[in-house]
Amino acid sequence: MSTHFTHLHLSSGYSFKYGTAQPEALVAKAADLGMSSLALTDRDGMAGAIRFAQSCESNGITPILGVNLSFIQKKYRITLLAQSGKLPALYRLISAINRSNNENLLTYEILEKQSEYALQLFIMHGYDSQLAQNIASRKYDSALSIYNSTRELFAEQIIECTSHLIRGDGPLSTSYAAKALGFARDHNLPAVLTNAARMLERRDGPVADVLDAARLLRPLHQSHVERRNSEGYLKSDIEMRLVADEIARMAGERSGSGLLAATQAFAERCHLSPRRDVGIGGVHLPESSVVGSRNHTEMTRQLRDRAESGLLRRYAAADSIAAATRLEEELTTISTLGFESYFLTVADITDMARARGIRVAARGSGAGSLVCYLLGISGVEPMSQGLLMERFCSVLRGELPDIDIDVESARRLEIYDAIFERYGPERTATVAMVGTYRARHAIRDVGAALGISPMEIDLIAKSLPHIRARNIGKALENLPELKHLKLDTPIMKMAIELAGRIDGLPRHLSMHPCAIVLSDAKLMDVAPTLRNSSNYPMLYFDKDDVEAIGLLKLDVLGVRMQSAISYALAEIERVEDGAVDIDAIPLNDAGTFDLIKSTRTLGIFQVESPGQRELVGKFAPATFTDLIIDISLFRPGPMKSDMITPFINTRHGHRSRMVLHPRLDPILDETEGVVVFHEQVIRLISAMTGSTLAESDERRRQLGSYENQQIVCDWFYPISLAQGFEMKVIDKVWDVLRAFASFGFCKAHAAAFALPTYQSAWLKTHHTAAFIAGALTHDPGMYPKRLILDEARQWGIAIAPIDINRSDRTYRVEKIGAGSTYSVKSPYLAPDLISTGPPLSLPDARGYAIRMALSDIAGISSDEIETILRAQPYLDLGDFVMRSGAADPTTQALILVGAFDQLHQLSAEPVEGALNRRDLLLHAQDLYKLSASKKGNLSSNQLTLGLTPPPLEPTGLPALTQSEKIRHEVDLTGMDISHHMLEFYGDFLNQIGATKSSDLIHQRAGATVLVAGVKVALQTPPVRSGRRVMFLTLDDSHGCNDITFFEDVQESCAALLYSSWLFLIRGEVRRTGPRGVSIRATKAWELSASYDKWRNLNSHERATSG
Amino acid sequence: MFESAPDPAQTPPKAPSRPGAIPAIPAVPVSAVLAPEGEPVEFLYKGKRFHIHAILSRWHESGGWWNRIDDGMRVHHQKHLEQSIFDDGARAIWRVEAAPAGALATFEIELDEITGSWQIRPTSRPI
Repeated sequence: MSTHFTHLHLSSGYSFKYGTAQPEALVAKAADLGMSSLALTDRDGMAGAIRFAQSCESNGITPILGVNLSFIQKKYRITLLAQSGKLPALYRLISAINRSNNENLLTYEILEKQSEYALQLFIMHGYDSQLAQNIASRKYDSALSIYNSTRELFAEQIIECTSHLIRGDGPLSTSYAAKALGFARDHNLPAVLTNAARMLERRDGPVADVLDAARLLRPLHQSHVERRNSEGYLKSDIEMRLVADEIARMAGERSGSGLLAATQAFAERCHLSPRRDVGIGGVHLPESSVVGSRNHTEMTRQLRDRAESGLLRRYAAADSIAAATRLEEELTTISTLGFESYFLTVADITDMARARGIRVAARGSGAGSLVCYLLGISGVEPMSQGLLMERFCSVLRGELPDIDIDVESARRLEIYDAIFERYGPERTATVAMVGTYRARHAIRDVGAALGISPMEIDLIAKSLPHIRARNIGKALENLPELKHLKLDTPIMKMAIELAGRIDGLPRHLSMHPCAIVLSDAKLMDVAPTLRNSSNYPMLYFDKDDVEAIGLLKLDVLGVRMQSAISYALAEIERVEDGAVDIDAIPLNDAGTFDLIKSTRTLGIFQVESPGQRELVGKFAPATFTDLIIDISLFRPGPMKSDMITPFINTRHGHRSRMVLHPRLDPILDETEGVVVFHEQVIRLISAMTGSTLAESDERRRQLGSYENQQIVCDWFYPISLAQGFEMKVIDKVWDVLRAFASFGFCKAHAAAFALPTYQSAWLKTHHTAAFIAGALTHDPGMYPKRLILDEARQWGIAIAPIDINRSDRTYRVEKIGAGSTYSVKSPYLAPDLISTGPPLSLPDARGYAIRMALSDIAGISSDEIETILRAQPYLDLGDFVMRSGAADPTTQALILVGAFDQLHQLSAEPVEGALNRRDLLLHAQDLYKLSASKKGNLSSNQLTLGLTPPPLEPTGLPALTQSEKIRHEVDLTGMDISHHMLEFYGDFLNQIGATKSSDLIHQRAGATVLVAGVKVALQTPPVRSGRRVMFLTLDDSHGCNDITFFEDVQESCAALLYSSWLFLIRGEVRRTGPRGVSIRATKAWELSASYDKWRNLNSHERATSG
Repeated sequence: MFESAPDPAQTPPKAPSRPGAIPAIPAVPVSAVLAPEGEPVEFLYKGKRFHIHAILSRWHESGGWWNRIDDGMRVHHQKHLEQSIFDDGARAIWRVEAAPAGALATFEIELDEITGSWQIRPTSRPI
């Protein structure tokens, strides 16, 4: 007899912190064992279902899907299986459970309400069910009544016989399994054999134990781990037959054949087709009715009409013929693929956003499509930039096109709400994201399980870079600051080993930050949903799963820069005479490019990081296309392979351009003969072989994998020869294609990014104050606010302190006119910037101020801000205490940062006998005491005689010193508003001869310098070699110093760099370009410690000399 | 075929704290003859050949590895991390009736699944 065994009860890693194996690994083993079908019945969800079914399909195994859930009570579990063709019923029941509770608890109430779905499903009572408990303790009557109580609710009920060959007679012992089989035989109930497996192999036991401990948040102990032995793994046919025989014999049967046959017969009733049932390879597009058309023909016409009217609006007559031809081609592609409704739906959504005044821009390859441009989805004109539709979507592509849109981050959820409102939960849902174990979490969970002290584990976890857990061992060898931890003890070695074993296992499901599925009304039949914490319905499936079953998704990304731009535009409209239409500015503004070339790009989208500042310094981009190139070059691939040097050298005329062939030259013209863009690779292939752009893109994709390169090579040579190219040329082109195909960047994507880059640079050039106010309000970049504030000062913008009558919730721009009441102290530093290149014209923002915001005050609540703003203006402090609704600590904080200075006309310098902030504090205390006692008195209904507010007058207390004022500013707002923090160290730094960042450019390469500053950023980008480089950016009120720490100095400095934020650094100057300078550190000190030493030494010298 | 007992001179002494083992009575290594399915049929004990007449029950045990880490728990490193084998004390136990000749006695004989060595469980050794 050669029946094959089918595992009907199997947990993968998608039973979070329970199963030890990836679904793919389970399927692969089942295939190796010659099994023909396999079930996946993960606990509490189905997040592994799609990759399981995909794996089954490619391994020739028939999938079965189910889920293991708590039933009636949390401690009892059952397994539901979909019968053939009834998978939607399982999905819908799971969705219904998730709508009713968030514990994955199936109740009678849900079963009654959802009986139409439950009646299509099988239920299995396994070793962890209530039924099993009763059988194990020989309470057969109770077991029978449990069985009968759910008899009418499901298509069929099955008794699972499972033995893990454990000692004794409890569930999972052979004795129990035999009793379960006997019970089924006695009452003529169906019974099957399962192994309730959660492991791939016997050896995975310790992994299961660690997961048990992590799930229960307990240290490892016999009472916290589930397994008693290692039998709960995916056993072979023969192994299961042995178990079957043993159970059957103990139940008094001759052999296990009957049980095995019943299991197989039952499994066949659950067989699913990966395509027909699970829906792999399907397509679900919104119906034509969703976009307001009655049928497909009408929808096709609607798309054409909208695109053609866009064509008339956006193209002058001269270009319109070429555009119209391109449009025809794209419409044909879209129509062949049947994607009309997708384009129209996305256009509908971008229209909805704009109608609400929300900025929106396409990103990604979608920007290469003319249709996207004409429908207003994308803002980049594709034809003049040489962007290709084929890179985005073609008839040959196996994948669905993926449109991403960037919206203002602050208003992203408004768009979500609008989408759900318009299309309804039957068509839309958010997408899941699978969080997997990486180094930090793995070492934390394993450490906790092994009972290693939390402090020790915390220290290691925090020091680990973001790497795969399996590389922890190697990483620990390379991190000098961890050398003092004793990592070679047996327990630490074991922790590291085990962390490597749980590496990559799923940990939890969270909501994908931006993806929304747009489907037809069948969505709930093809995927189960749950409610996530933000209360949007979310599919159990992640973005790859969703793509596999043909659900089109739209990525709606919140981009802070779009919010910052939007804010700046509103400020310009409020303060200036006219509004700016940022989407209509010319893309060739010289001032804007001068600003970028100056490397003073802080706050500008994409080009503000230290690395990008270095690159734009070398590159000196002068056109919009240059910006696109810059963004494409600044990625790990091109940086590592040094594509940049030949490009820059050719650009600056230091090297002559490489010419492949005159016919290919135009393709590489914009990038000095270097291949930078995918679009160029596509065109090169097309030009050499005469293939269509769509086919060329397919070949480009193949080049990405090493195995396929040979296939492309075998195709490329003969066809290029046939096109009349010489062997020499073909060799050269092939070398270029092979080398750069994987490094190239999608130009459409870079172009979509370059637009906000240019727009933000333009705003910083022409409306510096408004732009910086936007950057402060929405914090779009990588730098802390205090640095942005310093940047504002350097462009001549006054920083206006928090003022109780003038400050708003956010940062406001003020024009400094005759009526201004505060002094302008900001120096204008920017033009001092000397460079070795040609002179640049840079903005001058003198005459503007940025008013600090109330929201900067530590501890202030949103409600407090609301009531303070509503009652503005205030007559005096007493008026404020009475009407603002601000709590005592908030009022104190406001006084300390000088918010009442203007109102009570306090002088900036201490004047003897004049009113000062200490007097205000005292007064506020009196006022709050008074109002508290008034409240008390009112309740006892007494008169408030003698409780008139005390007068506000100087009490003779000394005024706050300048340094006390700044300390309060830093403590309460996190920023040095009135002065730069480094000013205190001015004398010290001058005496030791420290170099200002703005003077660094005058230093010769290799010179040893001392620099000081406040930590702005500390980055340790992953380096393939494993050798770590640390990049420190320091701000010293004259600009930024970029400092590199190589391995040799890390051991002495790394801990200090992480823990402190004011530094004195010694290092060597490195020149990187006309405006590029950086420092290679040789030593680092904490600035205040050095300062103290210096001061002590000085006073000692004075004492000895005097 | 005989699964030979490991030579005591070559095997390192076993970690004393295996769960289930009573340290006072040392385990006795034996050699066992296996049936094709991997079940024991005979074993050698005190120089006598014991024939197994009946298997009364059998079970598997493992776990408790976390208590033995500091003793230098065995990890059998393989080329791929996933294939490394932790010694988590996996063993298979047969409770059998066996006899050299005449008197039938009950033994629990244990297979160490990592090393492949056999022993008679100290608790079950007939006096």
